[in-house]
Amino acid sequence: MEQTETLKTPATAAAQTATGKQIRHGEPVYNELMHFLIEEAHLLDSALYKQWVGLLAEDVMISMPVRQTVNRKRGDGRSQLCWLYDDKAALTFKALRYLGDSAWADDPPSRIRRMITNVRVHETKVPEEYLVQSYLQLQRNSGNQHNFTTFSARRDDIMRRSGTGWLIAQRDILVDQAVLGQPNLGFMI
Amino acid sequence: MSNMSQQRSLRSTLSDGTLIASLIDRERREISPRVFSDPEVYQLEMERLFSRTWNIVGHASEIPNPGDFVTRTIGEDPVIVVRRRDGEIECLLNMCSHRGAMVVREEAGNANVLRCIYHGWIFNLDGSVRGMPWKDEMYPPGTDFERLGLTKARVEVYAGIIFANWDSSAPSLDDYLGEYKRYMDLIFDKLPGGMEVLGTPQRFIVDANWKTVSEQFGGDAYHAGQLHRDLGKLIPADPSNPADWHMYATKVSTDNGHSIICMDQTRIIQILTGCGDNLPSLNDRLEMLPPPGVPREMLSELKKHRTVEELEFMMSSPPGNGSIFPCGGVWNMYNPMAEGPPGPFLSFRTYLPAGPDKFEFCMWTLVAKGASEEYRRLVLRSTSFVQGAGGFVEGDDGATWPSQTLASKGYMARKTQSYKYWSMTGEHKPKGWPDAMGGHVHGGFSRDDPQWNWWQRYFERLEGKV
Repeated sequence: MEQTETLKTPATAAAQTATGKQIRHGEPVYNELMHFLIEEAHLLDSALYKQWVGLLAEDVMISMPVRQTVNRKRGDGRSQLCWLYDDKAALTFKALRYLGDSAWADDPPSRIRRMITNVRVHETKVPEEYLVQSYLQLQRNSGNQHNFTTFSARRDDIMRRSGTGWLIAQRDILVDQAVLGQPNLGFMI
Repeated sequence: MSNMSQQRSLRSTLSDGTLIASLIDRERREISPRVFSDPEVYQLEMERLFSRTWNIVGHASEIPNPGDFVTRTIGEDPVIVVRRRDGEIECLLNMCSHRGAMVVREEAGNANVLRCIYHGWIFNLDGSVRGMPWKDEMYPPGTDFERLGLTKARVEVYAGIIFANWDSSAPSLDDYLGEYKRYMDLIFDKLPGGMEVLGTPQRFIVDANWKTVSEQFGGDAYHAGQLHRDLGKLIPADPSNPADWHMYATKVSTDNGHSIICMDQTRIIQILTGCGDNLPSLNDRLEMLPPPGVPREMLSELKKHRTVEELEFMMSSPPGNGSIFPCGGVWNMYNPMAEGPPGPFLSFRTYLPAGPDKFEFCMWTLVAKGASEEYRRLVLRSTSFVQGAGGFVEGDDGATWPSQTLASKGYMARKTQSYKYWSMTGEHKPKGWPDAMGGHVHGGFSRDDPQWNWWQRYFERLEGKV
């Protein structure tokens, strides 16, 4: 049905067309990208948002489509509507806002731990860009909560090699909930 | 069973002897915190509100073709909203009349018939029973299959929004919306081709009572200057000037508890252009900020669809955000963006009760039918930046509603505190307010009038008077 077709985000387009060869675990490029993802998680978990913004390419777009529960034959239930659809200006504002004194959704900050696993790397048609898929398991604990809110997703990133290191060129987040279990995505920026 | 469902408890006290009427102090205009977390009050709401009010269950564009369906909730009852072969829309209780399994388990789809996976009972799209496996072997001749249909709600559609009501004796949707319809027209009925839902709704859980958000949407402009003060980083506004926080926007409340804040868009245009009192022409203002949902290239259709007076109203006092009683909300506004011109946002939403201290926020975003991909991307950016769970503004709201709910549980909270609606403006129509735009018009400084109206209508129902 037309309604449930995905609005083509650059990352999904890349993921669909990435027929390049797989870079296996242990190869130098794989190691560099794995290192990048671990360092990125460290920056976010430590609220080092200024440094995190430095990892974003000028043309970055981070999207996270809403998902619906549909029958298997109708696909993965991706919606045109997104939880997140932010360009660099929006991401920068949202991130740096957390360093101010009015970002109530995550201030007092929740305690967050990101686990990044199952990294798969493929070459793309652009020599300096790689498709990097990773699983994200995020645990969040806020206020007096005595248990954790969890967030689970697959991220399809287009990573670009630049003169200063790797940059996130696109990120498409395939969230594993149809009904999100928390009232804000403060932690995602 | 039918006798059971017809019995309406009209008790006026809670089980500890508290008068329901004592939870509102009409003289002092205060509400008891108890209503925000009491399980007994919550059960009364299921009986006295949600089974008898018109509830939003979707948008006609979500189910354009025969057999298209979506699954939604009224109160805590799951429903199937389905388009029949003749084009009419049905709203059916999603519970098999045989052994109570949910007949449809996915959120959206298309079906010729509705088939329960448990024993295979089959229902037509109008909810009537069509058959079941080994019918003749299972049920003797003379079985009254007519009585085995799915429970049906009344359905009416206004401005594309699908409403359902379980109560066969309730007034029509037309009467229920009353004078609010004129405002809805200018929000949702902007183009001859209508609006369509962009994708599917955002659905997320908030650990808060559904009324924290519903009453806020009933006209609380006051919180924005504090809770959403970071908006001031994006617009050249004076944080101490109430006019820059829409505190002179005109609020409207209507008899059945609906409300809308008509934004001070003249002020926005003055801020954006620095034009002072020399306002640009109506056409220039339409080009500058096409009403949300309408792409610039479709303005000519809008101009054919709405009168000059209506367009002038839409560009000076657009009905911006408000509440459709009991748990619906509307947004028709421009969002400031991190970079570039403001972004359009047109939405309706429901705050679905899921227990006394939990609700599901269900948010639909609309664009013109046939809007370009470029316009859809613009709306996506605007939505993501500001609204819903990902937006930095509504994300902050999600931080306050749970705290209201949590604090309302305490013994001393209930004994010594209340929610106050002391600040009233009264009814004043601003100069030049069109006669066609009715309801109780609260011009002047923005105060508590519509929210207090919301509570009065809520308590009339909770007390069983309506």
